[in-house]
Amino acid sequence: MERIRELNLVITGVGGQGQLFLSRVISETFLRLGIPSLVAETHGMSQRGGSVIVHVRIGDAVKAPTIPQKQAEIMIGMELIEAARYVDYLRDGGVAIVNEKLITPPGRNVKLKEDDLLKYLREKPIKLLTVRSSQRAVSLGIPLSANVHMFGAFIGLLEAVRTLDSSVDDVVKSVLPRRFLDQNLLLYRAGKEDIKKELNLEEIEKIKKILTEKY
Amino acid sequence: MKPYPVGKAVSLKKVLGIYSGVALLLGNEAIARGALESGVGVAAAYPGTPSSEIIGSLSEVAGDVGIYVEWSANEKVAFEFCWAAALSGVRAITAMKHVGLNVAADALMSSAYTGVEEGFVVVSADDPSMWSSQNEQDNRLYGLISYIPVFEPDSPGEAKELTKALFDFSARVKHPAILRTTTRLSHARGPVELGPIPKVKTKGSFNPSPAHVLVPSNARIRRLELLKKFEAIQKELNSLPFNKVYGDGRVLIAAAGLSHAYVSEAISRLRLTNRVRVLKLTTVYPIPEDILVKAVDGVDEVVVVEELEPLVEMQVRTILHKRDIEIKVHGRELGERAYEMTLDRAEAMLRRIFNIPTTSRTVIAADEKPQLSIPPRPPVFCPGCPYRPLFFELRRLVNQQKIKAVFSGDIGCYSLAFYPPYGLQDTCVEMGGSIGLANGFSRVLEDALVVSVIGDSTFYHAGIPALVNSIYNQHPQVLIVLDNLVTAMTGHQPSPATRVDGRYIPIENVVRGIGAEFVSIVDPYDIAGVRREFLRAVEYTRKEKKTAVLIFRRKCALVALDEIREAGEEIVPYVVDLAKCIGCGICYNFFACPAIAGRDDKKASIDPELCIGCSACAPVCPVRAIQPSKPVDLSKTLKYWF
Ligand SMILES: Cc1ncc(C[n+]2csc(CCOP(=O)(O)OP(=O)(O)O)c2C)c(N)n1
Repeated sequence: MERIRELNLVITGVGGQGQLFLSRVISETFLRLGIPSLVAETHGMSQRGGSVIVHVRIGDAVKAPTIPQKQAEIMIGMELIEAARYVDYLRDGGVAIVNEKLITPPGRNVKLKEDDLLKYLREKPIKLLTVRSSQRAVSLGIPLSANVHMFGAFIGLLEAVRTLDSSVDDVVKSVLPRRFLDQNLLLYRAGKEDIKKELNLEEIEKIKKILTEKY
Repeated sequence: MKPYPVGKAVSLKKVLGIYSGVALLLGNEAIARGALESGVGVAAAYPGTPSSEIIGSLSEVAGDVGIYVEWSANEKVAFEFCWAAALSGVRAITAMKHVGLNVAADALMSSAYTGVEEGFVVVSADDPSMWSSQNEQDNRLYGLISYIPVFEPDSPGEAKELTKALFDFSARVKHPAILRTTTRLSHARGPVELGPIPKVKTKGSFNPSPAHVLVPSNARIRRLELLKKFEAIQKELNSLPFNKVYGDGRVLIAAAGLSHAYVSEAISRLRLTNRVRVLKLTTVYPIPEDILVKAVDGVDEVVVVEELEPLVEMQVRTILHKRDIEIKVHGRELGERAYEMTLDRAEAMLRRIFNIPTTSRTVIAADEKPQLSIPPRPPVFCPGCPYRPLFFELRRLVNQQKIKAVFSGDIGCYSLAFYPPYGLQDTCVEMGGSIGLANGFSRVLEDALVVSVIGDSTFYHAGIPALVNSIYNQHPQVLIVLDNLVTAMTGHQPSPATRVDGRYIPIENVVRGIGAEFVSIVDPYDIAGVRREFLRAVEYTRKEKKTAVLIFRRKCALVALDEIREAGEEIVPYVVDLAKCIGCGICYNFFACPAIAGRDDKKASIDPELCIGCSACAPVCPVRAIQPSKPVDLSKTLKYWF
């Protein structure tokens, strides 16, 4: 596969949703493709159901562990409020893959609805792609694996803009956990398919330009 | 770049038998790996974010490698453990969060006076931006006061190499070394080259010497020795391969530790590569004087890039002044003292020096500012957390009976009781501070009830001396010990209250041994018991003017849940009987379990994905509408909770 100079990705969500696992699977996949990455993980307090953002920086030119606002090409949003909170990390034209799952902060009388957040995200100068990762995971009987579906969606996006070839699937098999491997692979593939349905042809060229500008 | 063999997940343990290739390791795992590759014999620490994974991952592999690793009662104790090993010729590493070094500071100071026989690496993991801390101190300054050199790497890969180099350095100069990291290095995962792990030496011998007995007559001699030794160390540092000068231009960028990673990327982003010379500093205190003096030759300006305090800047200024070199030095006035370095901040400094305007691409336009108010999401008690029913019931009791109380809190998961809806932490300052402040409050506050709240790990860390004081001096406080049988906040390291092979130290034994007369042990899920015993304790302190101790005991839900799952026991989520639910909102507004939410009709619903079937919410419902989704015998899993 071609080299990447720089691709910046933020993974956002609520502590406990598996952002760290997702970031590790992504960086491990790229390592096996021969591309280094640097991940700024979130440990400590916020893992207790707090707001979480993980910075994943892929490519040869990367040295600093965190991504400034307005400079990520991709956001994987595992939860709607947290996707909204961190959406300004995306550069103009950047792509947000967002799980349609709302987790309201407990005990605070929050009235926000899914639609308010989706509307807010749609008004941003970004490309919003929504997926139903939590639902998919529940229906496959592994409710805590929404992150695997989102991983599939992320890989599917890169494949669709042709920055990855299908050999990545072999790599993925070796980095996904052995436990529930069959269901996880199903979920991963579902993620890939679901995201491709969200993309149309003319958009793909536009997205490709944004994603690969710093390659 | 050759990855290690496919099929291995990432963790220190998984790459233990692999001696070459590249693995993705967390900065902290890289330090642990470096220690293993240096032949470390013992490791000890008290946990604290962002340091915990260093000793945590070493403890995972201790058995395989044959080294001794322990979680100690506090940082000072851990430091002393390792110091003794290094005095006896065994390589040792201890690691702590920045504030942990305050606790170990007494030992740190004296360790410079005694020196060591073998490599002794002290890792201080600082937390710029205070992601998980109560303050933002810059522990590089400890180098100044202790005469121990401080080093800071700029990537996980370098962290491993530097750890190895520091063991050798420390052994060579017979002096401890401080390896300083920050959250962004400790918790950055990146490529690390693996090397061989040698055979370890875990036993040594101790040679008595007056150098180890710091009575004043010896200490005076050691003080002079230390000053001489430090001068020699200063010279040695010039030959350490990690400090580097590269590139050329009229401006010298002196970048310390991790700031080098940010600024070097900022330099290429702003296309300044051909206009700057860079001095990469790994030795952040003291900085290598000869290298600096050579590096400034032919430049017009020096820009020091570092996080937090201007420590390197001060040294640069001092050295240039001393050597009569007149070059303009920039530093803190270009950047910021508070909070962590970012690419933006590094870029901004360079833009100011080179007069490069900002581009619109990085600025958020005003019309992009949120038109939606996004609710804050601080961390919360997990579903099943034993603290939730306790604080729920205490809040209710305090409100109902209009009890005027000061809750002197402490550091641990229970600090989250500060947030709504509980609001039961009036102070939270430093570990052990709960009982310590309560000692004072209980004597100077006229009519308030003083309640201190402390976790089991914090109790054993620094709570005991304060309790000894409270009981001996008869301070009228109610002490609540939250015994969840583990150090939960930092990732479930054992505390002395944790059962390990049946061994543990029950808190009630300690408390009674110290002389407490009122001691009661309560299950926090039993909210009627919480109420009854709390009121009894209040009555006792008011009447007797002495310290009452309440121990609320139930295991951290995350640990209990793990054990229940491991045992293959069924987890039965709870449901709301909508026919019975009256929509009062007590369960979602005041009990506030993340698994319970209010519906549009105000009735409650429970998310089966989040509910762990703990049953704690059932008794808070006034109409008993919360029930298990199918018949369940809770007594079968009760043993996992204690
Ligand atoms: C001096 C110092 N060392 C370490 C820490 C990190 N730290 C914060 S909370 C905590 C553990 C608290 O454990 P415990 O008191 O048992 O409460 P729990 O989290 O289990 O509720 C630690 C070690 C700190 N803040 N200060």
